[in-house]
Amino acid sequence: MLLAVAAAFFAVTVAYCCYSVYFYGGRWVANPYNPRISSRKQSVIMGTVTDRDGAVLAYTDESGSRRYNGSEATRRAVSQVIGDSGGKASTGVDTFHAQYLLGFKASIFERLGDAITGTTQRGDDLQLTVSAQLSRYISEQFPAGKRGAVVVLNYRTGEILSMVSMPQFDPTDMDSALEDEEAGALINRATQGLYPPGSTFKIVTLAAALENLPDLDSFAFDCTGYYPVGSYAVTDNSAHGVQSLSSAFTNSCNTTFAALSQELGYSMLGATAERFGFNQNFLFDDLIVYNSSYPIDGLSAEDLAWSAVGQGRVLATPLHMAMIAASVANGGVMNEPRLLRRITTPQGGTRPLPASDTGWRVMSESVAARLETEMIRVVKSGTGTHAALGNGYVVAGKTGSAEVSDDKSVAAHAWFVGYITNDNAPYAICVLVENGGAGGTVAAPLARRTLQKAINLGL
Amino acid sequence: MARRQEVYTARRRPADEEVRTSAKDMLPKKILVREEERAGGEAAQKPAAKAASSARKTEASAPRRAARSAKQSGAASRANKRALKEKKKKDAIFRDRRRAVSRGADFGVTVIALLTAAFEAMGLMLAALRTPGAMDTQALMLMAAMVPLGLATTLLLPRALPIDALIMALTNFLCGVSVVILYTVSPERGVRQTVFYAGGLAVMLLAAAVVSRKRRWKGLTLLSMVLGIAALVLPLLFGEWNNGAKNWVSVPGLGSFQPSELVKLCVVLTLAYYFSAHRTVAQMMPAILFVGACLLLLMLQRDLGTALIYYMTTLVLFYVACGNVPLTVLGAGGGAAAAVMGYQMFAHVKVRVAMWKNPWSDPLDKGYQIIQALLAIGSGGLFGVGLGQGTPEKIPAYYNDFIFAVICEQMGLIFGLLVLAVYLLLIARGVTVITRARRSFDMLLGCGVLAMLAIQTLMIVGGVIKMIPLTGVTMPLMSYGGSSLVSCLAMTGILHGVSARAQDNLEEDILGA
Amino acid sequence: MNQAWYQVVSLLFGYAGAAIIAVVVLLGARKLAADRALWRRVGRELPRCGAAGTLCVLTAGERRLSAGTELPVPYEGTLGSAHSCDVCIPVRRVHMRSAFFWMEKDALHMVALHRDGFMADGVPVEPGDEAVLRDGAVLCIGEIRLALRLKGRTADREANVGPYVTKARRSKAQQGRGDGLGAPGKGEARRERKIESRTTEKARRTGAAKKG
Repeated sequence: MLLAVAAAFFAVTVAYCCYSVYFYGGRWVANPYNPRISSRKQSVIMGTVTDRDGAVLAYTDESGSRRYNGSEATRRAVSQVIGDSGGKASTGVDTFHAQYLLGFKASIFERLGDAITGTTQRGDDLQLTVSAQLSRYISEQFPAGKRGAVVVLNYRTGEILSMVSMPQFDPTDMDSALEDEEAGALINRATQGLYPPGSTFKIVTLAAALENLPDLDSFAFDCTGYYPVGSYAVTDNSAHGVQSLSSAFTNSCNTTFAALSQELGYSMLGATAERFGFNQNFLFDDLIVYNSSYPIDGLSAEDLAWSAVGQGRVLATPLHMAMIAASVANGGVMNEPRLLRRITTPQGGTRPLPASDTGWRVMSESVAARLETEMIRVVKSGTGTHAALGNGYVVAGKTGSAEVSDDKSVAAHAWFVGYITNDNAPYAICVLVENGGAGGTVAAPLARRTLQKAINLGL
Repeated sequence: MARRQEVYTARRRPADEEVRTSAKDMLPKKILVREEERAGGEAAQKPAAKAASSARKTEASAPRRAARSAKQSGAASRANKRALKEKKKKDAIFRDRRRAVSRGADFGVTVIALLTAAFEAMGLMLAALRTPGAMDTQALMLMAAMVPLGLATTLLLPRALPIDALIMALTNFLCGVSVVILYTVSPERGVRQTVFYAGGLAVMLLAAAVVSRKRRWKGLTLLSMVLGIAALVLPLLFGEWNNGAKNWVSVPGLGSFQPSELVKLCVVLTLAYYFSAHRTVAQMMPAILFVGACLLLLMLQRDLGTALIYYMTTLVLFYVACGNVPLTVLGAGGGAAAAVMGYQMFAHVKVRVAMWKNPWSDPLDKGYQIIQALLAIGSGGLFGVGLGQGTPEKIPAYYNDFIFAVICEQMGLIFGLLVLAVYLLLIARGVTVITRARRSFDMLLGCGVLAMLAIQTLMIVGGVIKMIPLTGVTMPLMSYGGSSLVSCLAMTGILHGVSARAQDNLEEDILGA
Repeated sequence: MNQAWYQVVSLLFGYAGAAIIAVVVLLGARKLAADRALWRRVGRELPRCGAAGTLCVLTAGERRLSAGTELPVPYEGTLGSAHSCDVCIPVRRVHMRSAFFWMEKDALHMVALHRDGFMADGVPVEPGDEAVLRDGAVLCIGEIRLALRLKGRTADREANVGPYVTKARRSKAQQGRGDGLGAPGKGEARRERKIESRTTEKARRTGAAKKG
């Protein structure tokens, strides 16, 4: 019996060790606190990083120092994605994928080849899924002086076509970036910025309602612009009058969704939110994404009502919101976001990509189809009309204006999440402009221009 | 479960169980023995009968008689077959007995010893060739010391001295790996570790000889109690604060040592003595008071990891000795309460727990150690970055407490986990040994050693991989440090002694049968 | 050796090390299992293996225990009617944990725990009394009589040294007791000599009783 107990303890230790190394091992290696990365840079030539069209974004020159793309606009547009040589932008490819770029993954045969030929070891070359051109375009079009982020995904594959965070920095001029650190240029707002999603969260609330509540077609609610919950109230910009579910979504009526949330309760809304990725530990293979949170622990009715409209303590990253839109577009299946397109060894071979291909279902196909109908209506006749594209491209989307102050002294965060329904342009997008104002007038036009550019580029 | 409420609850030894089971099927066995005798008798008569039948055959040529003789010879051959079978069985029994009392290394242990030697030789050779253009003669000398030491202790010693070959082989393997790794990350420490290893082997032999020969333990137990308390008082008087604890004593001319490591032996001995032979809880009190005093002194030294090891060992031994579940649970509850109190009282315990929960909250100061360990383990991959590669010296205390992380980085995760398997094998062998012990004292002595080794290994490995809060204890047999290595080797010596006594008893029984 | 070659060789050593430790673990596990099986086999073929002697049932008077049964007595353990006892006497009269005993060099020492009418050679053993039983001693509990046979102690029987019961309470008996590990304590030996001279007559009587 003693032996069994001892064996059980050892087994637990071994299992925990395997588990944590399997899930976190890569992250530990890629950690900016890992002294092995900087020490390895002395002996290994770091590999080249290119964008999806083959444009070189970062490379190592003959003298062994790290160089970046020649054009400053491109350098800045992809700055947070690539990172810098010092590991200051800690989630960049140069740091997070150092195990490829610095040849940690090199097999013994490759090392043997180096030893025989007498060449210095070279790391792997990475081709990313992002498009430098699209990123540059977005950076140009982004409202001047504003902070925020834009994410464009291919919702069929999960590939990140562009990930832009404003403000940006120039990796060749780190001194000024560090001087102005409070501007937050080193943070990738698309993956590390946690914002209240505002009305864009109504996609999740609506999905929860569609899944759980019966008789939604006969649902009607009289919006007076004021809905008292507990000792508090959920307010709206205007009184929308009698709302059906569709019109409430199209008009982004807060009070209706607050009322819906009271019927759903924390258990149903929380369960759906967690299925959509809130409160989940995002351990993606290709990039670090901060965890979104939904306050399932708070049990007051007003917290619930506010959480249903994406306010209060609901927090999400722009990339996560883009993934939610992508999952609606993809028939309810969410894909892991992917940043690596190809890993080329110095010998010319390729390595298998870390990310797996399989997505996971977050809602049924019928719910996704219904959501798509509603989201198309938002762009056609609701709050998101500025995002509509011509030439037969149908955009589905949802706007959001997330209040960040109680008294409206600060402008709301402007959100737009959406996607093109056409099969030949499977792009999902999330636009966030910090303190930009209304989502429909600030974020939606930027989304339209970005999507149009993506179509033109034919990514 | 009424028996559990008894004060005089007896421990059930598996060895006794064997006795009981053999008693159950005693009757059929007796019959079997009788049959055996009969078969033996028949076998003896058989040649005569055969000769007679053949004689009859030549005398009379009548077909009827011939048929009868054929029948007879058929019966004889059947008896012959049965006798052969019995003989085979007897041979097997004797072979088993011979094998059971034979001492020394068999094939498996020999191969383990050779592999250990190969590992040491290859590793140290690699270390010798590390600097381009120059041969590190120190590494070669170390190799010349380690390889024969390991081979001799595993292959030759068990023939002459009370040494269990498998325990010795596994101990040597762990120590060999430790020396190789230590030498590549810190050559000076590797050399010193070899010296400690040699000294520890001598102490181990002494412990094995004492345990296998000694009959009266009372004097030694009392002495060890006095010495134990005295040794734990030493650092409080002469020690200096070091990393928030005061558990080192430096002896002029000899270097410094850690008394709490050596007191482990005293604790095991005292517990085994006072817990053995079906004593009442009241009669167990001296040992419990002694451990309590030790714990108090360790608390004053802020050496909480070691205190935890003592406490848990006591609890395990108490349960094993008297099987009293309510009291054991009570003791465990008291320990938990003490742990909570310790958490409230000591600031550094709070820091340790906070860093276990989330080391990333302070990655450059308080969480630095554990984060560096995790980074090292993660960087190693499955097969390691290679001996002498990587930067293990970035981990604070890489050579003692965190040697597991260094092993994982240099040799890979698979190697690290298999090292744990070797520990488990060592413990499994120990459990087999103690279940063969006849006396509860021997059994408890071995059990105490095993509990200590297992708890200490799990505590430090769990701490390094962030499974449990980190406690500053060494990894048995592998960490750098004279006190630790010597006390661990002495503890394996106790196991050797217990094993040798069981072996002696078995020999007596076999000779008696 | 230059750096690149050293790296290759050290990586190779990583694989070799993993192979070595895997083989070590496999061989160790095999040896462990083989030895356990071996010892179990040998123990099975040695019926008295691990036993200090036997308790032979002389008269039982119970259906569940027949005369002639030999109960093996380990070197240390408990005696009672519970199945978990090392020596199990399945009789209702006997307490489930009636006594515990240990073997010392000279004899089997037994301490009664309950008042269940336990007699050692006609002397009643009270709870807390320590009975020192030599080879040939007869234990009585009600109808049941058990004779103790210790391995290799037939000399005692020849010398007719009888058993005796120390009247001291267990706690006092403890003081003079050896360490329970085979050697009699000093006080024990002294008392033994004293009592032995007194009990010679009794021993003779019991010897006669046995013959009878």
